[in-house]
Amino acid sequence: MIGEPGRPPPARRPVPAARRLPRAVAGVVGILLSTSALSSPAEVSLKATVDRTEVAQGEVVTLEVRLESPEPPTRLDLPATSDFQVEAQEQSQEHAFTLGGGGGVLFREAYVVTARLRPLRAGALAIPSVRAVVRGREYITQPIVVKVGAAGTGPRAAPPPGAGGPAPGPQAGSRAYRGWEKDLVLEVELDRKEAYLGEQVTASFWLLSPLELLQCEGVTTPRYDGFWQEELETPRTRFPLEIRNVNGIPTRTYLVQRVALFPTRAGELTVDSMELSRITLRVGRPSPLGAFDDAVTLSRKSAPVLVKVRPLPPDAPPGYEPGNVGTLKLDVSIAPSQVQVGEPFTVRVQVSGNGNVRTLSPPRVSPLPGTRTFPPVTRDATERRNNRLFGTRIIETVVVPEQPGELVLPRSGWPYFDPQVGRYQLAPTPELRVNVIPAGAATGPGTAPGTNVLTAGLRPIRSGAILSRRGPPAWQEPWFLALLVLPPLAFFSAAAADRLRQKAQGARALRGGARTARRRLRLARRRFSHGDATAAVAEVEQALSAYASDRLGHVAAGLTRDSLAEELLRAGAHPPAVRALFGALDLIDAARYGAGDLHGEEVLTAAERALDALEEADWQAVEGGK
Amino acid sequence: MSAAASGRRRPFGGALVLFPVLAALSLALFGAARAAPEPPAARFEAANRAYLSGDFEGAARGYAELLGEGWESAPLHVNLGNALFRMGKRGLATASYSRALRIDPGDADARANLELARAQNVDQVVGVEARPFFLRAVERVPNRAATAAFALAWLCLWGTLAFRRYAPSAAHGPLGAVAFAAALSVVASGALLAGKAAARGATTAVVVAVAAPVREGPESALRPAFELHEGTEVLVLEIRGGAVHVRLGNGLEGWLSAGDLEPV
Repeated sequence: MIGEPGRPPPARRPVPAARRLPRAVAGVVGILLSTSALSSPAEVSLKATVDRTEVAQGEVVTLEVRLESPEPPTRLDLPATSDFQVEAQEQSQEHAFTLGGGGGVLFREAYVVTARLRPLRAGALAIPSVRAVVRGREYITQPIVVKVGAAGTGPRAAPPPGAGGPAPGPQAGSRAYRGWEKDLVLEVELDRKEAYLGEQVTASFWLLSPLELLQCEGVTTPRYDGFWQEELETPRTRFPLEIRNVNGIPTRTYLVQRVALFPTRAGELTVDSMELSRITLRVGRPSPLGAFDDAVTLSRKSAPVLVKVRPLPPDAPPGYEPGNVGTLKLDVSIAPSQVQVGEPFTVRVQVSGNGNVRTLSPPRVSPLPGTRTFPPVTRDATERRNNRLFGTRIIETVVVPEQPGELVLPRSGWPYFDPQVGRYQLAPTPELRVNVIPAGAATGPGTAPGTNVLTAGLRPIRSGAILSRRGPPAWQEPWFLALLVLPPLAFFSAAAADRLRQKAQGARALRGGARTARRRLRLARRRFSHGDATAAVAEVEQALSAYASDRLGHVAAGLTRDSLAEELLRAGAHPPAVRALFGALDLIDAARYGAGDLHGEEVLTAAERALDALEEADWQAVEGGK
Repeated sequence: MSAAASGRRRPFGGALVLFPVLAALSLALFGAARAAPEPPAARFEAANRAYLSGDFEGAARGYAELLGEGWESAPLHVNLGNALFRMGKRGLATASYSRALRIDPGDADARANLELARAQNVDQVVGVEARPFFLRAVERVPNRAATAAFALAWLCLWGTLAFRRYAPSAAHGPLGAVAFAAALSVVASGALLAGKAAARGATTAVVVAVAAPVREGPESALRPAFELHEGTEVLVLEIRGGAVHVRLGNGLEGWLSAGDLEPV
């Protein structure tokens, strides 16, 4: 290599006019370079390298121009020269990042143009400088001299770094990209270039890579116009790897997709391009932690390929239906062979073999006289064998005979086209018979006990069952109604009983208080009769006060008349009873404080009257009362 | 012998005539007593033996007689369904399995055989929406279990309330929480019970004819709109004369002849 990779020339060097430059060679690749700038500042680097500097006439030199730049170049011109013929030219863009090396995370974006140049004459030929303009600044590489010898004298082309076998592409541990990108190819492989209409063509999409494939995303599959497509194999996570010998070089080959294509029209059909927009390859040695591998992401697109589709021969037999193409086998059967009138039997037509079973039209059961024929039920199953699509189409028709006798499905034939032999074939169908016996008659072995195929899988009968009388559901039974009613009834009854008991206790307390008061009044009467008026008056007052205290729930002595009246009224005493009580208390006061002429009987009568009136009151429950 | 002698009645002549009659009657009654029907369990096993010997019609007849006399159990319906299935009467078998599941929704045999029968249906009802969880739960819980759950929750609720009434005030809080939980259980099990009662009110039926025309009205003169085939289950909406208004699982409705259906 004679370029100066990695050494950008001084800025703003005058550009010498190229001599004898064919205009066809000069290209502008700025259209590629429209992506965003790098996320971290980096130097602009322009490199031009060749895969070898000595070749023989007739051989090809690969020139790779690599521009690493933080933003897209406004101009990138390939060298133009009349000494070389440009055979092919590719452009790609790479996004890469590396870790470590003291620089932390380093993002790089590279624009790569690769050209295959064939020298037109012998001698020391120069590949002129490559120019790029980034941010208004021009970068130019040094010219590269290639020695071209006579035909057959050049050294054997060295394999590109990393493409020399299954080992990693670039030199281990190196960050250099040595032009191996040109060996990353997405190609489509067809198992045949010519096929009959409806015959399977297997298309396999392979990714040839000099480096290990880590991930492949952004797959744009072809449209397959003019084909019926059935997917055979599409790896979702791990792509199957093969090592293929490409031009004498072992190369990693990954299967991206394999499809079976069935042409639906004759003529030249095109299998369009497939595009992989994000192919991630490992660069360098694998790191201990796979997530930190050095990786590079590229994109590739396959070239479209043509398939020549021949029409089927014109001498199709009667009854042939388009779509019946393949290497096929036909089976027709009836089960059971003997039925009663009204019992169904099934006519089963099965076509299997290599071909597109979904377009097959197997023979149908014609309505038989004296039967009821139901719409057929179709089932398909496909499988892949050796990259070919095999399948089975089963059509089952249920027929119910309506009269006894023998039903006959006559011998027949089913035409189809076999592309392997290149002509139409006729698959014979045998004559099939069903014996229909009158309903109720004993059937033969076909319906013998335990051999009814429709009952296969039936769980057996059970013995030792406990039978019970049929009755209403449990929630309609009388006990359920009782269950609903009794618990709340019992609860509320208990609550009501509690309340009644409390009321009875209150009434008993009332009656007890009155009895005590009257006992005291009798005692007072005896004291009056014995002449002990003072003690008798005190006893009368005590009787009334204790009764009032019972009713109020607290001691009534000490209350003012107003307070006592208010509380008694609130407790349910009638106003006349309160007035009677106060009248009796007034008489007691009069008797105690000097009304010597007051007769004891008068006091007792007033007290008894007050007690009678108070007993007639509607006493309310008093907090803290007995 | 004179006429007078011949005309004289002997004192025990009537009894002598009556005795053989009474004896014959006694024998007849004794025979009738001896010929009384066997216990249902024995007849059930007899039907099972008929089934196992391949006499499916005899077995089905035996099971059906038991059912006709008011005996019932999930195994009885399952066995009848099996016999009918073996006889090729898939629609009737489907109805029997469904009845077994109504009695015991957890009967795995009935469910498996019902699925087997359904798998052979000609009609594939498309667009059946999945039923809500509650309705599926209602179907899965047996009547007795739902009733027992409700009864237990109900008793627990009132028992807790009563106990709380007489408990010391310190226990009122925890007992109130228990009563609240019991009330929630009463609501849940009551809803389950109500769902079962409502489901019991809904009549379903199975098509037993090989092919039954479905019309847009009850009049048999109407042109059939479509056909249903043996084994298809429908919901009965209305019965008018000999026609039954039915609805399929996907909402499609029509009228069928009552003779083409077997109610579940």
